[in-house]
Amino acid sequence: MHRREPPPQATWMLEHLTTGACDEALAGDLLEESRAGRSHIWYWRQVLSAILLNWGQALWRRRMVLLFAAMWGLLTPAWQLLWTRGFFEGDLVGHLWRLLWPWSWICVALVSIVESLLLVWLGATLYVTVDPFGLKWVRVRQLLKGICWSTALYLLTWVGELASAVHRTPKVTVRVLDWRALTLFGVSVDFTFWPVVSRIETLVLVACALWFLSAECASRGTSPQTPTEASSI
Amino acid sequence: MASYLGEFELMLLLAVLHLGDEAYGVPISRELEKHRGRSVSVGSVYAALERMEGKGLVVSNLGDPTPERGGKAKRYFRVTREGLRQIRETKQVLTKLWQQIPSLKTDIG
Repeated sequence: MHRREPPPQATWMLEHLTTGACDEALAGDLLEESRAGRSHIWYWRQVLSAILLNWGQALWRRRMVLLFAAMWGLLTPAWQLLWTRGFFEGDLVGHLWRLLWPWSWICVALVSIVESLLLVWLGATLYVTVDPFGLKWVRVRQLLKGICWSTALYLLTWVGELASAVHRTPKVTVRVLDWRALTLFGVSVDFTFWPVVSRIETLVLVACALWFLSAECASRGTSPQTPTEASSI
Repeated sequence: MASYLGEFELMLLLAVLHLGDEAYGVPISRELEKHRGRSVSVGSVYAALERMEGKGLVVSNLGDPTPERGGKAKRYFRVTREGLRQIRETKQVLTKLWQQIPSLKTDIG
C-alpha cells in the first residue's frame, strides 16, 4: 500500500526552525498523523503553528535580554558621535588615509567595524556582569558562541552595505552631516530613519550575542517529580 | 500562595490522567479535539506540557523509536502529585464559584 508522506519542505522547516526538548517527539507525532491520513494542509498548519509558538516562547524567555538590548541600542548614535569625534579630532583619520592603498582603506574599514562591534561586546559584557541572575548561569562557551554569531551577522550586513554602496547609482543622494555641529543630546533624541536603523542593528546584535546564554538560563531544570495515578484524584 | 490552573492547562492535565500510559502528543490532542469540538495544534499541546513540566506539574519520558514515526521516539507524560493537587484545588474553586450562581446550580451535577 502506498504510504502518504508529508511535504518534505515542511518537515525541513520543523527540524531546522525549532529548538526544544519536545521537537523530536513533535516531529514523530506529526509524521504518524500524516501517515495515518491527515492532509498536507493539516501538516503545514501544524508545522507553522509549532514554529510560531516556539519562536514566541524563545523570545518571551529572553524578554529581559531584549529589553536590555533595546535600551543599549538607544546609545548607538551617541556612541557613533563619540567615536567620530575621537577619530577626527585626534587626526587618526589623516594618518590612516596617508597610508598606501589598500592599507588606508583596510585600516579605516577596520576602525569602523571595531566601532560597531565594541559597542555590542561592551553591552553583552555589561549584561552578564550586572544581571543579578546572570552569574548563576553564565557559561563562557555560550557567551563566545553568541559573540561569534553576532560578529558574523554584523560582518555579513557590513559586506552587504559595502556592496550596495559600491553599486549605488550617482542619482541617490547621501545625507552628509557635519559632526562638529552635533551634540550628544541631539543625536540621542534623533529618531529619524538612519539613527533608528543603527539602534535596531545594535539591538539585534546584542540580543544575538546573549541569545545562547538565555537558552542556558531557560533550559528546564525541574526536580524529579513523582508521577501519580488517575484513580487518586 | 495557592496557584490555579488555566483552562487549557486543566484540560491537558485531565486528558493526560485519562489516557494513562498512552499519554503522548497525538492522543492528547485527539482527546482535546473530541471534547472541545475544534482542532488543537500538537505544537501548542507540547508547548503547554513543556511549560507545566517546568512547573513540576507533569513529568515526561521518551519511549522507543518506531519505524512508522520515522525512527522518532514518543514522549509520554504523567501527572505529578503537585499537578494532582493543583487539579483538585482548581476543581474546588470552580465548583464553589459555579454554586454561587443559582441559575446554573442544576447544570453542574
